[in-house]
Amino acid sequence: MKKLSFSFCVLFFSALLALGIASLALPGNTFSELENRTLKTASAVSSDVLGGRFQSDLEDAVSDQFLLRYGCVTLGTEIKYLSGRRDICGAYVCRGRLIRKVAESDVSYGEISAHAEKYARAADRAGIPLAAVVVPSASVVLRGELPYGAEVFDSDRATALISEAIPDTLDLRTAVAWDTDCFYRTDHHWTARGAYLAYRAWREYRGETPREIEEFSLETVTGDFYGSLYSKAPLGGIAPDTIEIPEIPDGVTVTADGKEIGVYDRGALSEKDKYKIFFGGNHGVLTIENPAAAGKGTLLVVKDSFANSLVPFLIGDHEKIVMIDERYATVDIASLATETGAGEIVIIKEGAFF
Amino acid sequence: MVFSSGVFLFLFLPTAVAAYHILPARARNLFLFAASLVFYAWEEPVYVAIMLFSTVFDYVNGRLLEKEGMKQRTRKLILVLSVTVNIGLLAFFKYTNFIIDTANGIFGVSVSLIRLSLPVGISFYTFQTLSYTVDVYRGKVRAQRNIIDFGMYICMFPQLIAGPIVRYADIEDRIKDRPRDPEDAAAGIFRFVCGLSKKVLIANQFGALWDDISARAGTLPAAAAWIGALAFAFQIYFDFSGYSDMAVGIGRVLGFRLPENFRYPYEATSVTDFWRRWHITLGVWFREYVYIPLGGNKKGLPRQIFNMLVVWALTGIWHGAGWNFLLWGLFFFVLLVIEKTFLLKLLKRAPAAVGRLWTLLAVLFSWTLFACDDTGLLLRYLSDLFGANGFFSPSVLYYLSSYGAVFAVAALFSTHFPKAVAERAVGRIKNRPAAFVIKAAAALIALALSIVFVVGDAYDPFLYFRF
Repeated sequence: MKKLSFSFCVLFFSALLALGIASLALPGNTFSELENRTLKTASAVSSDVLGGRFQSDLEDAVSDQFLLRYGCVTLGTEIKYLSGRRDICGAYVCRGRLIRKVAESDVSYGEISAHAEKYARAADRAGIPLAAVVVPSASVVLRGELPYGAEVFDSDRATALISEAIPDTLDLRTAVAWDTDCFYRTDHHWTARGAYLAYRAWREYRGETPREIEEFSLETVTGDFYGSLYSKAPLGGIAPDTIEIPEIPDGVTVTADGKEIGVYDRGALSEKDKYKIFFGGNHGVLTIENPAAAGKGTLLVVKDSFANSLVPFLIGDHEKIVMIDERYATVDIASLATETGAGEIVIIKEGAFF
Repeated sequence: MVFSSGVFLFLFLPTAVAAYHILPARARNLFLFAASLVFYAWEEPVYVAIMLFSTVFDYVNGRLLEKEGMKQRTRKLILVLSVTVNIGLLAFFKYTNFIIDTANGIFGVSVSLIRLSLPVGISFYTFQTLSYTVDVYRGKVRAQRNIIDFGMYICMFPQLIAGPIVRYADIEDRIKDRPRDPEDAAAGIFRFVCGLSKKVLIANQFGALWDDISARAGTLPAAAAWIGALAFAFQIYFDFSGYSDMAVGIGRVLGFRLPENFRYPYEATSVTDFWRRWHITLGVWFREYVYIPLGGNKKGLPRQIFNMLVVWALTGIWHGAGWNFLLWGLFFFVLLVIEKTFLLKLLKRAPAAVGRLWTLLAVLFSWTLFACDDTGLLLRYLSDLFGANGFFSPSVLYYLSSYGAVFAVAALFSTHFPKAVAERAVGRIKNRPAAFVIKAAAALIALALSIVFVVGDAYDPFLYFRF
């Protein structure tokens, strides 16, 4: 028994040490696409011991470079799921899909109100009309898909705060008959179908005739999209998504932060976050010009990433669309509106984080 | 370093254990002392100086107390000095801001808070050094002559930052000479893995649930609020007792026998019983060094109640510098006085289930006082517990279905049954290799699962903002 015990002790501690050393010594990744962040490597560990940087860096390096890291993450997620857990890392696990959990504590109603009022003042100063298209969170409109009793923030309250400051508000929650094909299974964004229905509702809200979906001749660009929610809860039972994109009229040019880009960045299809195919992701200020629609005026859009896949449906109807993403640039909306000669400001943002 | 971190598990622990056993016996205490300083400096590269000061200070006090020809009055003076300095350090770091904050509130002034963080583990090692000096003064233990050996006792890394509180008398016989028995070491590993699993497989899950529920305080139906309290109760038990198990386990690998800290507290049949099973080493400390010196129960009931008041107020604020902790301690004081004066007698006559139910309800309620360290949060949570927002909603079913299995596992492992069943299963082959192999395999599986969760929980999807 002594021999057996001794061998076990040696085995136990050498296995631990081997895992630690191998993780640090073997060449590892410097970037985690799944998590969208840089990973700490052993060579990047700071030497500042007194300030504690060395210690926290080494902690990060050991967990970031751990040999079986992704195996651990997926196995851990599966075990949690099997134990009955239905919200993992901020994603609700529903039948065959994930839906982002937006709890009451994730939403700041004060900020929603403050932002809406700020937009109203900006439009006032620029002297042009203002409208809001409030994008619904999937958990609000696909409530029937959520696990029974799952917490969802108060979207009535959020929408009321927005329309109080911006009377011309389109509440997409009710304006569209949402179904499960409107949102990706693995990502929190809406699909081409969801974005098209939002476009349609917006045109109808304005009393215009929307184009039919066939006119956009949607193209399937990938069937292998694992989105943001899948990164949070990588579960085997969830199939990858398909991304479709609408056709863009000829002659359209796009400038983002001074550089010329395309409406679609097909390079993103070889990356993990394939939703970046729309404009290559978010930009501070982005301008789309469509000479074919000359005379149809300039539209100023203040937006989040939901708008990236909605705006391509709008391009045909405006000579120029200027998109502002306030998370990526500090701009004075009123002066930009005047500078670009915008005839209208439309806010296209998710209600929960308006 | 915390025990459930990658650096500890994969680098520090195996290296320290291997080096310790390879070194010649006379170098081991020095090595353990040095390794413990590295372990401590990992979190507190600056505050390690305070711990070293306490070590040297109490070493000197111990030697002086035993010096021949020292007058009793001088000895008393040394003791008072030692207690004052040790408690003074603890009080300065732990309670200064609390006192300033309270004074600001009462007198309407605005003295600025000091910008100091609390040195990790100071509440634990202060109590250890105090026990030593007092015991040397009382002649219960001999003063340690070797400062390396003494430093090793104060700073020993397994129990340094979260206990158990090891009195010098507890391990005096193993300071110089420790047996090296592979069977003992293997048992230590089993214990360590058991503690690690409790922490990462169970406690952390409840951490997520408690965060979720407490974030909704003020809108919770009573059933959900009680589920939250239960989640916190399991979280703190599996976290703390898991940590103690790991400490005892590592201690055993190194040849120590550290005192036990928990004995299935949620099986207690009265609140009095609960406190004999929960954080045992702290209870023993307060009994030995506060309650009994104050006269204990030898000076009549009123004095006994006063002594209990002192002990429980101190126990409360030992856990944290906040009014809620004081309230928590006083809550137990009231319950214990009630039990002492009449309830205990009634409970003894009633079926054990009655006592268990009473204890569980009292303890569950106490955890909400403990967990809500913000007065506003506490008031909202308390009103939720008593139905200010109704009693039931679909979210209750959600919590139950999402966490029911974890609750069941936690409830089972809070009792002595799993251990009893396992012991019975291998009972007949107890001392044969087969029993060992089964245990070893179980430990390795539990370790693998724990690693999956340690690494998985450090996984950090960071989706929107990478500037």
